[in-house]
Amino acid sequence: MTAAPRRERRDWTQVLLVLPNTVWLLLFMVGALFFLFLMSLRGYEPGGRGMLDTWELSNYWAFISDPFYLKILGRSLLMALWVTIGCLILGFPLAYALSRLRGMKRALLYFAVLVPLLTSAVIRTFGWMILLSNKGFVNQTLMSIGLIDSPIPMMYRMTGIIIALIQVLLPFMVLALDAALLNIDRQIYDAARNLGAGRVRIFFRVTLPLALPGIVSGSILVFTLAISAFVTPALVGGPRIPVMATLIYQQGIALLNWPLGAAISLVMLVVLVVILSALMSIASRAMRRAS
Amino acid sequence: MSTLKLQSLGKVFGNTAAVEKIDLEVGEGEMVAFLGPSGCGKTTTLRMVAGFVEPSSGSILVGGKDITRLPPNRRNMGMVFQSYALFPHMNVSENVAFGLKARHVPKGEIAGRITAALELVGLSGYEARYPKELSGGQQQRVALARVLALRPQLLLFDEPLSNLDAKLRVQMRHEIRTLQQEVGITSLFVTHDQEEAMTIADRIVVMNKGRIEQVGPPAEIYDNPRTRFVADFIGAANLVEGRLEGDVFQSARGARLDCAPPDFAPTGAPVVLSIRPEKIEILPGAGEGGTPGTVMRATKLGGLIEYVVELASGDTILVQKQDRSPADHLRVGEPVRVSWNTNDARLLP
Amino acid sequence: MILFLVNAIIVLFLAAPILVVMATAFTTTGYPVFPPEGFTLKWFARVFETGEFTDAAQLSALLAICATAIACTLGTLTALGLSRWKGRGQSALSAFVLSPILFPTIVLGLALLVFYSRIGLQGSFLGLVIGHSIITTPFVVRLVMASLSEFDPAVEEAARNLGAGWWRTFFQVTLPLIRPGVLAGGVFAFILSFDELVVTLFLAAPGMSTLPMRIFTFVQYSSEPTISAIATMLIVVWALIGVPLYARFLSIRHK
Repeated sequence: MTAAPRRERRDWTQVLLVLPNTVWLLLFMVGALFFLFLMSLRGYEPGGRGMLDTWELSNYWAFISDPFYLKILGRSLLMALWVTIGCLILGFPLAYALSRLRGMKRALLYFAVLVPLLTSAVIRTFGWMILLSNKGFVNQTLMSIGLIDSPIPMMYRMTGIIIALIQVLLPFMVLALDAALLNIDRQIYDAARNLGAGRVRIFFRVTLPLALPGIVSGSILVFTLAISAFVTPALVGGPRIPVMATLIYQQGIALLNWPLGAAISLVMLVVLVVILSALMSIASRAMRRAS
Repeated sequence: MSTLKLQSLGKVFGNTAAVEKIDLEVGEGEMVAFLGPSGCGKTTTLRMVAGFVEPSSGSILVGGKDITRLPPNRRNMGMVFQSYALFPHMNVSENVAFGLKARHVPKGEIAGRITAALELVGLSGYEARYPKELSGGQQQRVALARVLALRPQLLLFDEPLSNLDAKLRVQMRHEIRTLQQEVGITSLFVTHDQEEAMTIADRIVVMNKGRIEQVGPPAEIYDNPRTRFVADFIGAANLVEGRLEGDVFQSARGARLDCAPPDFAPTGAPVVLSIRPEKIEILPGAGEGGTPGTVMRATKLGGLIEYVVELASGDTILVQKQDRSPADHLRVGEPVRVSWNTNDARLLP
Repeated sequence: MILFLVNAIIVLFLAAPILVVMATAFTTTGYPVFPPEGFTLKWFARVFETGEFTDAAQLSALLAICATAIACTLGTLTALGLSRWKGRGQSALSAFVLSPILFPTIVLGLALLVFYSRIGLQGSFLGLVIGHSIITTPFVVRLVMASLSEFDPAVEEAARNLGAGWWRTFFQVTLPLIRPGVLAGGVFAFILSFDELVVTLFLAAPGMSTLPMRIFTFVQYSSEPTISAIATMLIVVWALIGVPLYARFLSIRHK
């Protein structure tokens, strides 16, 4: 009996299982994005005939050449940066405590993190609007204890947007950091202490490097969600402080200038991809050094 | 009816051959252990028999019938997994019932077969427990009951004892052996533990790098290893490199050592002399008879005492002796002579 | 001790806007103030007096149910496929499938609007369902993947070995074991879809208004504590429905 080598039968079930979702996304995410790209190349005549049948780069040029738009881009980037930093600073102690707790205490703290996550951004932003206004609780309290004489304006200011947005996005950061911190073998801490490292040294030389994957994934998520956040800047900032998301909304819905809105969207996506890939390459280098 | 035959069975993953066209026949009611280091192809072979891995070549015959192409659920084999693989959401009784229902055993018969199977493994009364409420050993028994209830043609064990602690492992080893002989089902048992293979199996298949090195009863595998790998992998062995000068073995360092005549045609190529440490006689003092040497190290291993002896040539020989009395102990640096029965020193190509 | 204090402040910061919204729902003043003055339930009554919130809530619920059904089906299938993926491409494929999490919803909204205007789905309920399913599916994938990674893959082989075919293995072994993940994914998808605003703003037909759209408009142009009342109800309901979700997160992380 000769045994001719049989050809490996491909296991098609795995392909069949992922196929529906992949097709769905290719059609309605990638496909839609492609049409958005086509739209960004269409000519547009404000006021008059609206969208034209021409293909041109004028929308991109309009964005790049106008300091007004560039300022909005810069503002959005800065906002996302501050929000990310804020979430890291506030998220780390919380995630650290979460990762070390067990049982009921951990469940309770988890509850405190997840309930905000499950509450819509509109509602949470609404809460901040009540808190941050000139006659709001924060200013009233600060004035009554004599810390300030006149209210600090936070509504319709960048400060207010950043404060509210940090709160809106903090749960994402905590979950990402918690996952990374839990992966750290506890014996490593014991080993570090046994080798004579103090608390500060352990934090900077052990905890922080090992939490790096969580820091990176949390920061990527928060930065992305912050730069494209619409609800909080729209409500707290209002029309006085436009950011990229509110600008896209204004062009797309209020002014019906789809070509410009599409171009701005794509500029934002490109900027985002560039920043994130730069961040990831830095992070992967740092992680390689750490390991 | 349930003999097993593997015919040039092979498996290639990508560019590497996990199993290289092996042939094997397993008789009715026989328990055969597949023994080898990790990555030797023993688990892949078992998984091909079970139907989880599709062979790249060859065929599998059970009771003379070719089942190579049958899906795993139509093979009528019972497999016991390393992780037991009990269904965590079902209790013991439901775990055992699962296979019976899947095979459409008549409803009226199921309860009785569950009871019988649990009785067989000594778990009567545990029907309503869930796997997580059982110890490792008990989970193992449920896994056994689950397959025994089906009265399969073939039992397949995939390192079933490696998750148990040492003591329980030894106990379960004997239980599995007794059960298997009681039910008389042809069995394959994959393990990397030579002691386990020795105690449990009628025959051992030693595998290495996808090939079968040797097949035989445990005693034969131990006493008469056919290859360097088997001699080295099973038990402790002195392996001395050298060549044959006429009928005499000469080590690479120049020692002339007694050995049995080779059972292969000598080609003049390097050979290896293999001898078990416990087969060596060690005598104190430099005198007549035996090869002279010096004790370099003495280690007490429970009831045994182990000496490392350096021969005049520089070859080192490991010797094991029963430790009967401290008066017999040899000191490090003491001159000794070692000798052995010629038939115990075997030449391997 | 210091860590405990710092964390108490951070938790307070997280809870602040939610507690404030809930407190102002009971104020007797005509606009939301914190601390609230007096105590009244009239704003809760007001939510149900005018039909606009209840109608919007019904639309949101219907939308969320449809989107969740799609997300659970696609997400579970995808997770099953990815978890048993052999050969190359697994990480690329999972990155693609999870990418909507990172895809700016504001861009997705405009892109779908432009796309729908071409294929005639503009302003349709189906268009909204599709948009919401894109946003929610990756979360189902993630949660189901997590519960798949929790159980021993050998149990599926054991089922096959015991004589079960593909269907019996899936429905009696695999599905019961991943049910907590599917349930948590479904709950999260439902809440996410029910609360979704940005994509909805782009895709909803002129007369169509979901609850988040109503709340958004109300927050911008009105100053009645009715909004606090409806927000309070949502917070409480979500916190309660979210229980399987917390349990899920906790048990995943416990390992």
